Amino acid sequence: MATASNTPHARILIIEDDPPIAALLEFMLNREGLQVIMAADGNQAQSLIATLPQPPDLVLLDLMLPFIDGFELLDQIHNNPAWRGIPAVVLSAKSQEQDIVRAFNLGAADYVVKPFQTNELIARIRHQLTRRRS
Amino acid sequence: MEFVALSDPSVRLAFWLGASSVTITLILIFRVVMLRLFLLRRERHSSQFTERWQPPLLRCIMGDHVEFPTLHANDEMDLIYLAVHFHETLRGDAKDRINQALQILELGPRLRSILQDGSLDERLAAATALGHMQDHLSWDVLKSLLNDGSSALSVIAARSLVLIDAEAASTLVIPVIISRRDWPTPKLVTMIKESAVLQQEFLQQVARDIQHRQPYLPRMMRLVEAIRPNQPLPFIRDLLNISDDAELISAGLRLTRDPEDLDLIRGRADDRHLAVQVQVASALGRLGTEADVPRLIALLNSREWWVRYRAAQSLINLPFLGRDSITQIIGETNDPFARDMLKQVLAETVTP
Amino acid sequence: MISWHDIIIISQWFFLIYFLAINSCYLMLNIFSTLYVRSYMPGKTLEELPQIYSGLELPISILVPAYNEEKSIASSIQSMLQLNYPLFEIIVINDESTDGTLRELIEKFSLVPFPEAYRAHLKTAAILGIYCSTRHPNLRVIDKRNGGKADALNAGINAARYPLFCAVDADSVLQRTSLQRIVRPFLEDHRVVAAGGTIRVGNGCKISGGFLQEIRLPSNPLALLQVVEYLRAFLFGRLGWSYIGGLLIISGAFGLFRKETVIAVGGYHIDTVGEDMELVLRIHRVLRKNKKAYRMVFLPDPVAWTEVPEDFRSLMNQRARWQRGLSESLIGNIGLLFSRNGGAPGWIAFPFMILFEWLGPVIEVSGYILMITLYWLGLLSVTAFLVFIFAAIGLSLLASFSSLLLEEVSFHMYKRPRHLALIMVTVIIENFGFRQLNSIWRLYGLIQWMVYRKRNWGAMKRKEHWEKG
Repeated sequence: MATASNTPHARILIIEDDPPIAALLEFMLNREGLQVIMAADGNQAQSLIATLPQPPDLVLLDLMLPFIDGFELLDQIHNNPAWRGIPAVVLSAKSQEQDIVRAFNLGAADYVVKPFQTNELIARIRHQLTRRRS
Repeated sequence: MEFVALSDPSVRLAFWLGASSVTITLILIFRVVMLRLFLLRRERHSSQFTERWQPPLLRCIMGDHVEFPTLHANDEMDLIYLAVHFHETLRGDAKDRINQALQILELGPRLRSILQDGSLDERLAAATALGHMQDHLSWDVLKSLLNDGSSALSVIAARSLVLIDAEAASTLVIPVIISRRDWPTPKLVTMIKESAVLQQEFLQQVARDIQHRQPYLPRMMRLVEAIRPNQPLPFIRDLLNISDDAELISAGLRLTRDPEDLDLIRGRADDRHLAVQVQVASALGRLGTEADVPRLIALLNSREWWVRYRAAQSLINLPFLGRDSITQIIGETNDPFARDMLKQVLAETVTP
Repeated sequence: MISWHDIIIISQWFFLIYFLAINSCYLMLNIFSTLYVRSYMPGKTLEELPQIYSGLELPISILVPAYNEEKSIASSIQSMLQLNYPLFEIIVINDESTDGTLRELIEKFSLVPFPEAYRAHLKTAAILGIYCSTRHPNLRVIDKRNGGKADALNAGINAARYPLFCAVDADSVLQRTSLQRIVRPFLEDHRVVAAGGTIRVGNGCKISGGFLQEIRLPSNPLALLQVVEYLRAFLFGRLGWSYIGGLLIISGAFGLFRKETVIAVGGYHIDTVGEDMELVLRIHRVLRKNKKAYRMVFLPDPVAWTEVPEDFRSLMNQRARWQRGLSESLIGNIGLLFSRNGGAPGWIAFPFMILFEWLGPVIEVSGYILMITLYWLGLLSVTAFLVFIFAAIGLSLLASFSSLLLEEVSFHMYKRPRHLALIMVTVIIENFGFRQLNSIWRLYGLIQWMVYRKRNWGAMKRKEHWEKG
């Protein structure tokens, strides 16, 4: 069985536009020994999806982002052959049923509503990573 | 002919007019420049602040032991804004640790004084922080702020009271929800949804208001709809039974989720208000049985577009009615409007 | 016997008092705007905090009338589809474009004919077909016979499903949050029937994918002058009017309306070149006459960026057209003026419009002509001449700089100090030529209106409905 220690160099793409929250997520995941790539808005995320030589192991994204929103990004990830299958975890203040359903329909692997609990988020990310390895 | 010269009163007036406006303009330019300089200084300061304070605060949130730097007076507000930012995004242990940090830095008394003497922006932040800290010492001040002239401040005070002690706050806040029509609905809805206790108390209040047919019921019903409570609402039955108001009945119909209410819904199918019929058509789509198909077909012949539209949607989405039956209905109907509508909704359901 | 001298003195006093009056009004508006911004801005910082979204927003139909827009229509619509709003639909109305607008739409959005059960609340030119996108269920296109922009908007209103509609120019650049912001007054007060937001000059800004990426200043001097004009017109003109409930203009480039109300007053009028202003005035007039409680609100938040003309000829045509539109709107709704239940719109804003906006160019231009003539005839000393010019420029500087101050305390959109400096210089420069030129253009528009008013010039006008701005 794959465990957390099997994924020491997992790379996570964090797409979050709110600077303190982005800093928190970056710190939180670095502390877990994960490698982090940051994108501060939809445009940056889009160009990373297009240009990163190797896709990350997981994408953690907000839905309300400047320029291109998270739903559109989920769609792009899903339609990019190299990125398809990479788990995308949504972290959003949108808590309505329709938004959550829409995110899953677009291929999200998990959905965490803000305000969130840090350890829960870490556990969910770990879970996605181990599922992918196994 | 004389010359119009400087001595002329009109020229003198013009001169003073020009002179005074140029003087004021110069003052304005000075203000604009000062504001800009102030802004640049503040931006510089806030980036320094972030550099100094964000890392220890992040470590603290994640449960590491940290020594905080000394808190300078001009960093206080920045720290409060940052803490509130995290308060609003986190819950559980992480949020408790922010509160611990604020305690260690002894910000409680400072926040309470800002709540009373700060600028409006500062008071809003202080009220929010104190609520998240569940600071009982600020209860009385927050309570008095319920009647503050600023709607933004009073609604935030209400929410903080609820965060501190939902039970005690409910009895204070609900009457104000009723009386203060200036409270922005989105904020109000967020506040009610956030607290299960307040939500229960609020729904009970609505149930009582229905019994007493309070004049402010329409607004309360709009709130109930916005909250979308995830529970049966027995008062909807009372509302449908006793009310004659089209707006209230429409709201009630939109909230029906219980098959036991079917007869009440059916009873409104011939309502003289088309707005009510629209809701009947929708509600029958949610709860209706095979017995309601003729009723929906009748609504499909309505002269109002929305009644036809909802009736068509309901018919097409009824789980027990197949495509063939819909095609049959299209074939049998004589009303071209009803036929067009069914065709439109069919097209809508086919295209993703 | 009245001497020449008396006439000169009287006319001087007339112009002086006129200038004094118009500028006192501006000053009052400025004070109102400041009060408004003060009551509006606090809480902004907290507004930026992460929020739990209530999902209470009212659904909105976005109406995009289009005439010969094949080059830009696809990217405009693509960006509108990206708006940050829970529930909205986009209805593009193709007003029988002679280029490939419709083909472009069909290809880019995979449109298929759609059997819409279309309702004709408002009479419009014939509908040729309705299409629906297979990729975006909330996008529909109406293809209709040519009838002008107002007629296209009416067709859009007929097809709109939602209680609010937002009229948007096909070339407006929006912010993702535009709808979210502009809908707020409707959520907070259900008497609100219309809301407008600040329109800014998009020339020079960095735009990608239909969205504004970075706010910059245009390099074209004419566009730069208009940056200042727009700042002044929106930030304290409309803001001040909104404060006292006398808002008479909501720009056609981006405005949100309650559909029910617009249908009740008869929709857009197709026989005016200023359909946006005419509609707002008519809503005021009709609702006031029927003693309905309503509100129209102006938000200081910038919601749309528009491309302004960069050459004299187009700018002149635009201004002349605006003045004609203003004339038609004011005369068409003259019933609002001093009407019994007129309130702020009928008793304050309407008279102001007539006196200062409508007749303003006449008085300003004749004032300049008088000064120059007197000076040429040697009836006015050099000093007096300069003093009058000094007063006029001083007052207008005051107005411009107070709006700049307002911009600085509220949005300070132009982040770079260099940009701020450039705007300040422009504010000063515009007084030497541009403002006078603008008055002349508007006077020209007024003359056009008087000359053409009696003639039938439908064909010419129809084309004009589609001119930008």
